[in-house]
Formats: sequence, structure tokens, C-alpha cells
Amino acid sequence: MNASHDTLDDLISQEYQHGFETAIEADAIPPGLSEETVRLISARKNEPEFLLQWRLEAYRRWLKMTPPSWASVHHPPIDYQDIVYYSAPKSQKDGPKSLDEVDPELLKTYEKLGIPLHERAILAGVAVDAVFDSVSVATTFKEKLAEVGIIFCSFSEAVQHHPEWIKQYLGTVVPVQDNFYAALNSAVFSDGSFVYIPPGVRCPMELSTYFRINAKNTGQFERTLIIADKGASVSYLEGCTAPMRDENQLHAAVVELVALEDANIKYSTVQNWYPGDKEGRGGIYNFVTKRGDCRGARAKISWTQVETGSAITWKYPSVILRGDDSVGEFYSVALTNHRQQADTGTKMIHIGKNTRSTIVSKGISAGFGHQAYRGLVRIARSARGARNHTQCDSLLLGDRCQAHTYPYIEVKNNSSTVEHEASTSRIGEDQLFFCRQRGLSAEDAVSMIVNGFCKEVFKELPMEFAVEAQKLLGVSLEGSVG
Amino acid sequence: MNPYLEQCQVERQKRQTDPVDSADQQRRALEWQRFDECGWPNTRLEKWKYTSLSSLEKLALPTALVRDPGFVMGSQDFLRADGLVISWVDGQIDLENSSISELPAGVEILFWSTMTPDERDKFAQLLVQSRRLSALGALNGALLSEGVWIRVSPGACLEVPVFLIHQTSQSCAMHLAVVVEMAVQSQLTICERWMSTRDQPTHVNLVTAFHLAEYAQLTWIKAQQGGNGSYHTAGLWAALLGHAQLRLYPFGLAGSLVRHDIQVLLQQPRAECTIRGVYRVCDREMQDFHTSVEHLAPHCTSDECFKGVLDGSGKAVFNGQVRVALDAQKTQSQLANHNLLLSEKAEINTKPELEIFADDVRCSHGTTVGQLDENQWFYLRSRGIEMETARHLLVHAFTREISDAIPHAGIRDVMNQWLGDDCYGA
Repeated sequence: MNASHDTLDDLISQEYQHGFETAIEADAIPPGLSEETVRLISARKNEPEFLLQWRLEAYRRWLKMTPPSWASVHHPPIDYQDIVYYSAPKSQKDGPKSLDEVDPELLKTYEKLGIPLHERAILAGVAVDAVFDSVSVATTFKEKLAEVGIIFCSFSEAVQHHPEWIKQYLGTVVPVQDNFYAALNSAVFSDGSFVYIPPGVRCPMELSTYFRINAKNTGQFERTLIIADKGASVSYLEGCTAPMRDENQLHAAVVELVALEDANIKYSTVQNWYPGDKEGRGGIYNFVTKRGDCRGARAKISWTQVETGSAITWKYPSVILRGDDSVGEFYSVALTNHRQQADTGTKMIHIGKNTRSTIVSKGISAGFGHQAYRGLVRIARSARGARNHTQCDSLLLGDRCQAHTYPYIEVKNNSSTVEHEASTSRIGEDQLFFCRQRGLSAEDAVSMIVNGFCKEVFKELPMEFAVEAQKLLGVSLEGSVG
Repeated sequence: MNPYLEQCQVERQKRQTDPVDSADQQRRALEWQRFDECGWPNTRLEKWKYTSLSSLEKLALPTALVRDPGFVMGSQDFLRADGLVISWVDGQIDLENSSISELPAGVEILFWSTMTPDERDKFAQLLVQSRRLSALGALNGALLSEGVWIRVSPGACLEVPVFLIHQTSQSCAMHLAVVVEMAVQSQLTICERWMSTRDQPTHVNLVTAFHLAEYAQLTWIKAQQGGNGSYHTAGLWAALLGHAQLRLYPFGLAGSLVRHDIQVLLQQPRAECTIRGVYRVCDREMQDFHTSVEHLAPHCTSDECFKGVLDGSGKAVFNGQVRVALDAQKTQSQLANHNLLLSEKAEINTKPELEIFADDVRCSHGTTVGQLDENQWFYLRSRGIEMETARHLLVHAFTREISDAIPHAGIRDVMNQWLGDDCYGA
């Protein structure tokens, strides 16, 4: 641990001193969850009756469920009655007024990541209107998308303008009773994104929550639904590489992807929520349910994720390969440093004939980091000729970190082929020596080796994302060597 | 309470009326209580997720006290190798067919039925960990019917293997225990064979404990050849001190339901463990291997490989866990599991697990599920070898890699032959 890193950590944690306080404002309902809360949320959002009933059903199921205890993560029990489940989009009054008020060390991190100046302001929670005319950017994008018939809007907007899509698809991939956090999300979800790509349309640009201005303050219970109709194709980016300022400690999002015949969805995530300080105080709990459903033949869903933030990550982006010849992919880099914990992986459920899936998972554990890959590959009896290849590698930095692998493989079919390989090791002394000998500092050498280790996943990311992700990894690992 | 457990209650009553030492009664009562707390294994438990004992729980199996008079001993012709033979029928020692009247120097063999109360107490102590592996271990503690305790003194190296040959003459349940204590620098090979000469419901509930002192070497081979209706549940626990070497070769060749829980603790530096196993299932058969190798000290190595051949509507479960404790640096560990699915209805559930708490380690695991290689198949077929023979050759070659690793030549030959026997034949 070098001195500069300690100060960086101190300063970052200072920044968050006022982070998790949820001051009750005029347009917020008091903390606590009851049927009344659910009705209130639905009423405030002016939702149709079917959605209210759906939320209530989820709430009633949630009451009967218990939080999952099988994941290898540890945290104090969460008091669900102590959370504010609805507050109108916050005014910026409790955030910093300008970049001058933002912690200089945080700005330094942005600089290292190469984030443009005006974007740094949004990330630091500065009121954006004056700084960055995102409205116009968003409008131009929207026009361009509307031309080809793509719907890309916030979830609440979709509920108002396209209730038929919501009614048809909501909860069909992740049912309300799927798991504890999904049920909670279904009952109280605040907002999120909705995307519909019409048949045969290839989305002309990468869709990103980051550019959608109303993605701000979607709150802690985000709900995303993406539908790619026959022959449609879309690439969706979620999150961003810079550390995000956030008010809520518990995040329980649900993402549902539906790919019909010949459709192609690529979903990329870079998650860098506040991981808590060096001692593990604070930090976001990220309990996410993400699932894609390849409903038609030859559909393809690909998940790519770079997880470097959050105190606890509990996330298993999955693909149900229902259509014949459909394809599922999962590429993941997860990094845990200090006291971070991550239990992440994927599920590939092969049902259709000749379905194929690829899993590449790279885990990096440093400091007291705690990391687990938990995956399931299930080949049903009907999935003739199914094919899976799984590779999960862990890299250990430091003698107090942990890396676990729990891959479940269930095969009920003799015409399928499944391969799984995993390895765990630390950075080789010889690799380090080679780099040091050629004049690289220890930190640069480690950063380079780690990036090489993750290359397979990074190459799946959209180009600009990949560059940022690489830098992010370097920054996140600072102080773990030397 | 299910019929199986009701019968267990009856057996308990019987034992309580026997004039035995009170300490033993107390131990049994405690174990029964522990079993009660654990409950009968069901598929809601993670460790029993894929393995259902629902067909066993319907069977009320008594403990056999007298051998069925019509019983004919199975052929022992495989005993081409010299060795000490301990023969068992229905879970009881059959001294007539055993050859342990003259033991080589440095070996001591004790049987539960003739132990003194003090010895029984020590015997139970040595089995504590083995019985903790599953709820059935507690049941074993409550209902133990016979056990064997093999002690090898310091420096004693046995040239000949010890054979434990088990046969059953009738439908019954057996709760048995094996303890092997290896003193410093001792060497021993044990070969266990479980066979049924006829199809009848039997349940063997076995616990085994291996205690290896510094530089001790133990090789253990187990051939499981149960008939239709045979249930076999076994817990094996082994603890290794510095530089000790343990080699395990479990072969699950046949049986209605076979479950193994194996746990090996590498407690001191430079202990070594090798596990090479085969499971083979055909119609309505089930083999389940749960293994766990725990690296508790630095510089230990473990190497594990299981191969499975699944035919008919057979089902197999493999759960291989490797744990590397904090500060168990320089650990080297490998785990492999390869499966051949030969029929449409066969099913395999496999999970190689790694839990690592140290950083300077090299651990890897690999799993494959697939079919016979088309190129190999074609090679044989194009040379005029008929389909069945070609298939037989390829499957045999696949599993033979495991049996070829057995160090003892005599046992290796026999095992190679058994692996060559067709699943349904022999």
C-alpha cells in the first residue's frame, strides 16, 4: 500500500459521507414497504390497472420469500422497512454546485480514465443542464431512432405510450416469483429503459442509458426490457466506467431481454458503483437479475460485463436457449479489491436443437477481495446437438483474497458436448520479472498482465468501452501491488 | 417416519437388549439423536440435490444374523495375487474363507465384535469425522453391526495387499466401519470388493477412516459390483500428516444406487493425495461421487481424475471439491472429470468446485461431457471391426487409463479385465 493510495481512499470515502442519507423530501413517501406503498408508487406513476395488479401479485409473493443464503457473500441483514421506495427525481440541491466543489481526488480519477470534462460533471452529480446540453444530444438520437421505428424510452414512458408491449412481455423472462430480489423489484420498481426493435431493423447506433437523459435517478430498483423482433439487431450499453455517485445502498435491478427469430441482442455492462472504503464500510449492494430469452430460431443473446464496483455483487446474467440453433454468450471480467465481494456467473439453459453457448469468465481478486464464479449449464433432453464451452480463470493478487468456482453442469442428452475448464493462479514471478527487466514499474507490469488476462472479454466490448474498461482496471487495482 | 427408518428402530431395540457395554449404548443413543437432527437426506439439500433415496426409504431391511443356507460363495478366482483375505458375508466376518490366521509382522487386525470396551471407544473416536460426512454416517454410528480395525506399525511395509471381500446371501442392511491406522513410514495396499451374486435389495452403509502418519503410504482400491437392488452409501475420511501419500482408486462398476462421500485432509506440508476413479452406469443405475480434498498446509499436492461411462437410463453425479485454506501456499491441485454419454436417456450432473483462500497456488479443473470420437470410431470401422466391438474397445480404452494407474500389478490386471466386461454382461 503506498501513501498516495491511502489518501485517495480516504478522500473518496469522505466524498460519500453524505452519500447514503436519504433526506425525505416533499415528494417522497416515508420509508417502509406495504401494499399501500406499492399502490402509492403505481398511482404516482399513473400506471394502468394491470400493472398495479402485477406489482401487488409480486409484493404478495415477496412477503412469502426469504433472502437467498446460498451465495458466498456476507452482509448484515437488510432492513426492508428502512428504505424509501419512492421519491420523485431529486432536485440537485444536495449535490455539489459545480466541479470546484467536487473532491479533487475524484476528479483525478476521472482524468486517469480520460473522461471528457463535461461528462465528469454529470458523474460527480453536478447539475448538468448548465454544463452539458444533453437534451439536444438525446433529441437528435431519438429522431434518428424513430425514423427506423425503434422505441427507446424510459420504462414509465413506455407504460404510458406502449402499454400493449409491456403487458405482453413484462415478467415473461423473469417471472415475479423468480427470486427474492426480482420479486421485490417487480413490486416497487422505479424506472428503467424500454427498447423495442421492429422486425428486420438493425439499430443504427449503440444504445446507451448513459445518453438517455432521463436515465438519471432511475433509483435503486431499475427495470429494463428489451425486445428484438424477428431479424432485428441491437447493441445496448449499460453503466459507465467512471465511479458513480449514488444515494442508495441497495440496488435490485431486473433486466429482461427477448430475442425473436433471427434477432440479435448484445448487452454490455460496465459496473463501477461505489465499492465501499478500504475497510469495507459503505458501498453498494448490487443484487441483479438479468436474463435473456432466445425465443425464436437462430436468435442470439450476448452478455458482456465488466464488474469492478459495488461492495457486493450478486448477479447471474443468463440465457434461455429455446429456439433451435440459438446462441448464448457470456463474457465477464469481475474484479474485487479491498473488502469487495462478488458472487457472479451465468446460466445457459439449452432447450432447442443445436443450440450453442460460450462462457468466458475472468475473475481478479486482490486485497481481501472475495470472488466466486457460480454457473449453470443445463442441456435438456430436447437439446439435440447442443454445444457449450466454458472457461473460467481466476487471478489472485495478495495472500488474503479468495477465489471460488462452483460450476453446475447438467447434461441429459447424448448428442451434446460440454466442456468446462478453470484455473486459479497468481501472476507468475517470471512474467513480472520479464516486464520489470524491460523497465516497467511494478504497477504498470501488473496492469499490463491483468489486461492481457482479460483481453478475451475486452475484445467483446464496443471499442470505446473496451479502452475505458482497460484503464478502469488499472485504476481499480492501484495500491494492490508493491 | 419411512419404512426404512421404522425397521432401523426395530434394530435399535434389538441391540439395546444385548448385554453390551453401557458406553457403547450411550454412543449409539447420541448418534441416533444426531441422525434425528440431520434428518433423512432429501433432494432439497444441496449435497443430495441430484440423488434421491426415495426408493431406499421404502425398503424395510433387517440386519441378517444367519446366513441364507442356500447361499453359494461367489467365485474368488480373481485372487490371483497373494494377499491377506478378510471375507464377509451379509456384513459379518466369514473366518472360514479368510486367511488371516497368520499375520505378517507389523500388522494387527481387530474386529468390532471381539473388541474390548476400551478398544471400541478408541475405534469410535477414530471414526468421528467419517460419520460427520453425511446423515447416514450418524445412522451408521447408531446401528453399527461390525467393523475392522487395521493397524500397521512404524516402518512396516506390507508386500501383499489386504483384500476385503464382501458378499450378500439375502436381502438385508449392513452398517459397517473400517479404520486403517498407518504409523510412520509404513506401507499398505487394501483392495475392497463388493459383490452381489443375486439380485435382491440390500443396503450397505459404510464408514471408513484412514489415519496416515508422517511418510506413510496407503493405496486403496475399491470395486463396487452390486446387483440389481443393491444400495451402497459410503463415507470415507482420510487425514494425512507430513509427506504421507494416499492413493484412492474407487471403481463404481454396478449397483442400483451408489453414493460415495470422500473427504481427504492434507494436514501437514508435502502430503500427497491421488484419486483415480471410474463410474459406470446402465439402465436404472445411479452412481454418485462427492469428493472433497482440503489443502490445510503449504506444499501439498492433489491430483484427482474421474471418468464416467453412462449408458441406458443410467444417471451419475460427480461433485469434486478442492479447498485451499488460508496460508496453504505452494499448493498444486488438479481435478478432471470426463464423461461419455452413450445413450439418449443417460444423464450426468457434474460440478467441479474450487475454493481458494491462498494466493500462491496452481489449481485447475476441467470437465467434459461428450460422445465417442467419430474419428476413432471411423478408424476402427474402416478396418472391418464390427460396431459392438468397436464401441467396446473405445469405451474400454477410455476407462482403462484409470485402472492402468493402479500400482499393484495383480489388482491392475483384474481391474482391467472387469472394466472390459460389458456393463450388462459378466
